[in-house]
Amino acid sequence: MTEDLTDDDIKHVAWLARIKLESQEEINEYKTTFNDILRYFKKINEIDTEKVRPTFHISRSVNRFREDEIKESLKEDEIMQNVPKRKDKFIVSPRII
Amino acid sequence: MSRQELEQLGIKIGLEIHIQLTKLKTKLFCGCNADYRDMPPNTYVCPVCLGLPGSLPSVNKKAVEFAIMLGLALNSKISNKTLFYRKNYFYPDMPKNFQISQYNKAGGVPIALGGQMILKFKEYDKRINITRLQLEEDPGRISYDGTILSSPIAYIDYNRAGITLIEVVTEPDFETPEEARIFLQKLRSIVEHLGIADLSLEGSMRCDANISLYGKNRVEIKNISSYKDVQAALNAEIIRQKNIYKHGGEIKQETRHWDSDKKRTFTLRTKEEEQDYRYFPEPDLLPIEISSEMITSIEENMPELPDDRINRFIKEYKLPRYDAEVLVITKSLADFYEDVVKKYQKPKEVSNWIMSDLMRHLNTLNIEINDSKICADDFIELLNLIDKGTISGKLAKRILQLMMESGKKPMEIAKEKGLLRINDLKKIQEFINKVFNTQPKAVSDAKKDPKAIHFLVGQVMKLSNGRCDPQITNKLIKEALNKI
Repeated sequence: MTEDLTDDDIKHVAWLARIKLESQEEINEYKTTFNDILRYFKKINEIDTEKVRPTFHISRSVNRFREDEIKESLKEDEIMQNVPKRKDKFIVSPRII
Repeated sequence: MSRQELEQLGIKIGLEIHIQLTKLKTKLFCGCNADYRDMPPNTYVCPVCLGLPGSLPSVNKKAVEFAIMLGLALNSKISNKTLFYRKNYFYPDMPKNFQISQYNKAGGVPIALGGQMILKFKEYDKRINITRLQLEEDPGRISYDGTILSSPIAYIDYNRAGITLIEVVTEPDFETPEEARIFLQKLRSIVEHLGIADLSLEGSMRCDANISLYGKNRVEIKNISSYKDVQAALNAEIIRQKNIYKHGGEIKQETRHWDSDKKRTFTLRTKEEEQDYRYFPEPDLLPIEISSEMITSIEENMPELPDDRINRFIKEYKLPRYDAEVLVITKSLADFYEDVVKKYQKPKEVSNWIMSDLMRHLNTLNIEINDSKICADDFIELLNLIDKGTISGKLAKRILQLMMESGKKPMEIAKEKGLLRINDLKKIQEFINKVFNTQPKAVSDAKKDPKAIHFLVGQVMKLSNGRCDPQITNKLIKEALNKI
């Protein structure tokens, strides 16, 4: 990301996260914050990585597996503890198309 | 449409198939019970598959082994190092708001790359190239009051969230819907021979298809749930696109859903573009390294695959290639065949029965052999009853149908429905007398012309519902005619 984010970028990201941005004021606020953060991280670009191989994981260890053995699941009241709306054993959410 | 007609449309189809590894006991990244079917909603969930903060996924070793098995069976190259990626999207079927999947870009390497399957048709062989195989987790299930369009709310069940899927992606090598169907059937047979999944389970094999005509824009069809559906969905989409082009229209690149009840595809929603999934390496999971020793040891323990089984059927049971292929493309049918042939050693006769009557009834009932009520031993008994002359071959066909519907034994049905063959001379004579009395003209014809005797035999068979022994009947009619 070399350019600063535009209003449209902010609206798009808001849509992806299903956040409703009502006013230009809000968009401006997010735009300023986002761009500040991005500018801060751009410092990383100053490092010469020419001879560094891409890293996908910081740990050197590999292959931590689990055997295919059944563990107990959560109990119903534990599951529903954080559920704002339920019907019988279903979790209810707004319909999203 | 004929193959020639289809060829003129320049059809290109690629498939993405999701296969649930139903033989795993637990989910891909947690120890929750994976046998979720028929369970009340949200019973097999834990902090990992609910995506609760602080929970950490860990990979089911057997899932990796199963994926390697399928990769080897499809002649794919197993990656020596593979990673999981987060695919971010905002939809309530994934409580974490991302799906742990694999990625073939931005440094990602899925578990297996390349591969192929050869499809055999009467007129030609077709090679389908595989692009990749990847491991990923299944999302939860969402249901609605009525349809998705009419329901204001969604009901979520996370029992399925985190179930292990292998996604098989093919190149756009299919040129007809039939090729796509045969591919799915064969893929299913391979998976079941490997013993990594039972794909008769509802929703265990799901398919998306990309299809374009004349090299133009491609449309993605989602929600195809079986190999029977794939052909119907593609046919419907070909007709839709063909008509639009015929009237000078254009096809736009979009995602459509297949409605298997209405037999058509329709637009549903605009999904995020690919870049919006913001794939990045899953930081909570370590990379997987697959050593050549691990691959060799899996390779050495691979079970018999469909192509080998076909060759064995040809050699061991002296079956024509066609028979062997028809049986083996459905593993459960091939298993049933071998169960029967073990105890009833007339292999070609058994394959004739299975390929004609048995398969026809399965199709009519729209079930698979394992769902039907017939077992190998009862089927053997039926064949033995024909051999002994207790029932006729013709009536055996009817009995077979009743066996499959009721699960009763052949003898029980034959007695109950009065379908046993009549060998008793006196009883047959009674039927003959009746026919002679009611058909005097036919009798006099038969006196003059010996060929006309067949009509009288036919009348006796009809009157006895096909139960009289035809040879005895023939003999007795001749004797009776001589006496006149």
